[in-house]
Amino acid sequence: MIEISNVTKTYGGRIRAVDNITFTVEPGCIYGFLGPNGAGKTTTIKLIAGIIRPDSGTIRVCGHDTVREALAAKKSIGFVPDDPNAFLHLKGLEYLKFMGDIYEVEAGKRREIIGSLAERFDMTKALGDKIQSYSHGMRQKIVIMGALMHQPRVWLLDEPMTGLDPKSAFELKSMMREHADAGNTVFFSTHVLEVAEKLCDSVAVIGAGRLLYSGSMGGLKSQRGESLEKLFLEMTENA
Amino acid sequence: MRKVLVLAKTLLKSSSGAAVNQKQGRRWWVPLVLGFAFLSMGFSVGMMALGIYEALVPLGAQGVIMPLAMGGTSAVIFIFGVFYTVSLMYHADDVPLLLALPLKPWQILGAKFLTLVVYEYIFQAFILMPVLVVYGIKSGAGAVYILYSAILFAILPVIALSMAAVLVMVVMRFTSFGKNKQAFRFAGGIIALVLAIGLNIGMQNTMTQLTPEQLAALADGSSLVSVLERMFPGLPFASQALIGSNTLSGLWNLLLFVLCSAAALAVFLGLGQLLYFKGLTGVTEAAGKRRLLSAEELDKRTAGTSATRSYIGKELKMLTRSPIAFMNCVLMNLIWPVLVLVMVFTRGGSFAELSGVVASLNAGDAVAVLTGVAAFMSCANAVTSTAVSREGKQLYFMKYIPMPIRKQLMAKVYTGMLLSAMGTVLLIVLALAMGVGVLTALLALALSLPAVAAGSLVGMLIDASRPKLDWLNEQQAIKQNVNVLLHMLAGVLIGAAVIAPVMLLRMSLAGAAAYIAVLLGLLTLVFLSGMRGATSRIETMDA
Repeated sequence: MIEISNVTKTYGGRIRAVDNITFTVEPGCIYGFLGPNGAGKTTTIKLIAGIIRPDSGTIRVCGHDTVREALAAKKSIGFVPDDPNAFLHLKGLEYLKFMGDIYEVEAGKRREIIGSLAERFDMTKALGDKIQSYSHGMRQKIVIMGALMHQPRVWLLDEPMTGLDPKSAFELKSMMREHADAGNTVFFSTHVLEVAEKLCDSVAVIGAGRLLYSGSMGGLKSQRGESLEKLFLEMTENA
Repeated sequence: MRKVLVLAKTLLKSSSGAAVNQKQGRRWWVPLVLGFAFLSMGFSVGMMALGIYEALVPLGAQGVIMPLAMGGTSAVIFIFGVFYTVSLMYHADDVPLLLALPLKPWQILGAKFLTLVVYEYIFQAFILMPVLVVYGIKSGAGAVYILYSAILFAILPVIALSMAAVLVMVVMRFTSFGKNKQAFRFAGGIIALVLAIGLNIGMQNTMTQLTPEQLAALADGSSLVSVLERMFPGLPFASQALIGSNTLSGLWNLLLFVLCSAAALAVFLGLGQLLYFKGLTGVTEAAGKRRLLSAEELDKRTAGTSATRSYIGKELKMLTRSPIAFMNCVLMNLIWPVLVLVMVFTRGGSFAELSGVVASLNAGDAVAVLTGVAAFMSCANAVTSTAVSREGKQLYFMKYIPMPIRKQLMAKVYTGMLLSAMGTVLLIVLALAMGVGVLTALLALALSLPAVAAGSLVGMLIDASRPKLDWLNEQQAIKQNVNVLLHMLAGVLIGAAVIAPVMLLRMSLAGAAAYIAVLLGLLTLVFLSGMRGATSRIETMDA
């Protein structure tokens, strides 16, 4: 569902944030993207979301090239950025309606989708208030709800658990599993190795812009029989 | 006390550091422009003081100028002090951090107060200092006068600021007023605007229209002067210290004023120790009701609309709900026609006189003036010239949603056009009230459409080519954005291109309308073709 081939991205002509990476994310898979700070995780996610363009290489989402068929690729993605502090002057419901209009969600389906997401994230009483009055976790939840409004096949989440309370984090993890089990894809970055270990079917490890590992979680651990934490530290220290 | 000074120094450094870090603050011409603006302001205040001084000499009452200056300065410091106190002592982002430090309330308040006093010196430098200089030169004052002036300059803000801060602390402690940061910024912004216009009218009146009767009233020490003196306890000592600087009573008065200032400060800090922390309870960015919406409400409020309409709606909501954007982008459309009227009236004109001037214009000229002004107004409202800049670090949103960038930029242009249209309609209504013919007004209204389109488009082209995305608060994106200035400049040029040829060539109504329609139509087409470049610039920009 996501195919990344020989992608390189340089900032300012000098800093190589992503260096010739190639990997594929299959349908039905929760794919964890691991790496230390500044390793190139957010850049890779922005490349997949179509926010920035690769210097070389291609990215396809659900068969659509993210540069040449940008709109079709974007429609198949539900993107959650790492910073939820956007549209603070809008009310929660206004933001969801806006996202519904932009992603052309059928009017008849909106109430059902919003109702179900609000129920799961415990946001039913907050929808009529401005996002500015929300806590960090609530802002994260409304952004996630906005990203899922159009029921995209590919979920692209940058550090989605940050700031979520235990119940919401549990709900999100359950939803990620349900989504992948229905034949879709969840691609998310995280710093929390326990989350990756418990949730992911496959992982990629990135360090200094280079892909250090890509494959199944089981394959990674069976490489040397060590804990994920130890493997991660060894890999990224030598990157 | 040492902690207060260390904290005050840090607070001043962090605020000046933040200002210098802004890209546009590093440009060499900014201090020059600011210096010129302050100097010219100081010069005009000095000239005004000189005028009043010389008018009062024959009455032997030139000393009145001193309490007038001191009282006026204190009144302005008090009024703005109320807003500064709330924003600096209660709403500032650093307050939660400071509360966690092992500091007593009076120490935090003392440090914040000192930073406020330093800010007030800037204000006093171009309002009070020119008066002190003029009085000193004209009265042939000596070294003692200079020394007293320096001391008074340094401590004058203390009484007014203490009074403002005490008022704020009591209100914040015992009422819910001021707890909602957003609501307060809205109210504060509008009140500040009204005060600024009022102050402008007041100053213009004083400069141009002071009648002998008013001068005599001033000399009597009646009304204004005595009201001002009664408002601020101890203030009369300050002016008496300067007026009698060459006598012993001058020194006595100076000491009394220093004592009064110290007492005001002590009352403020003492009350602060009791009220400050409790007054901070409940201060929020924006209040939420946390109410469950009914199924009908959900249906109604999520009904589908087209992406462009929805985008315009989003832009309008963001502009009207952010205090800074509302003041500079929305209210600005209505303020221009009002400002024109204020300028006319304060220069001794009247509505009838203005109507006379308007009526004397031929129909072609009137259409040109109205359309040209409409074009300028659409370039002066900072809507499209900050449309991309306002996205800031969230520019990535524009790039991940499945809506073409060009469509998004055009939705922002339509938003600018809608808001500009508000000002245009007000302008045309004013023109009708001044006696412009209905046909002329209707023609101007029709021609304002391409005027507003061209004006809004050129703002978008400017902002898309060099958006200011690296900002910490919206104020930097809107008020400290050179694009707004460039857009205004473009507005002046478009306005001049519309008005000048029509007036110089004495075009008829039909000729003027045809010329304006062709000119603005062509400009709109040229700017529209430029949107391709603007779109590709945003598309390829890293976010």
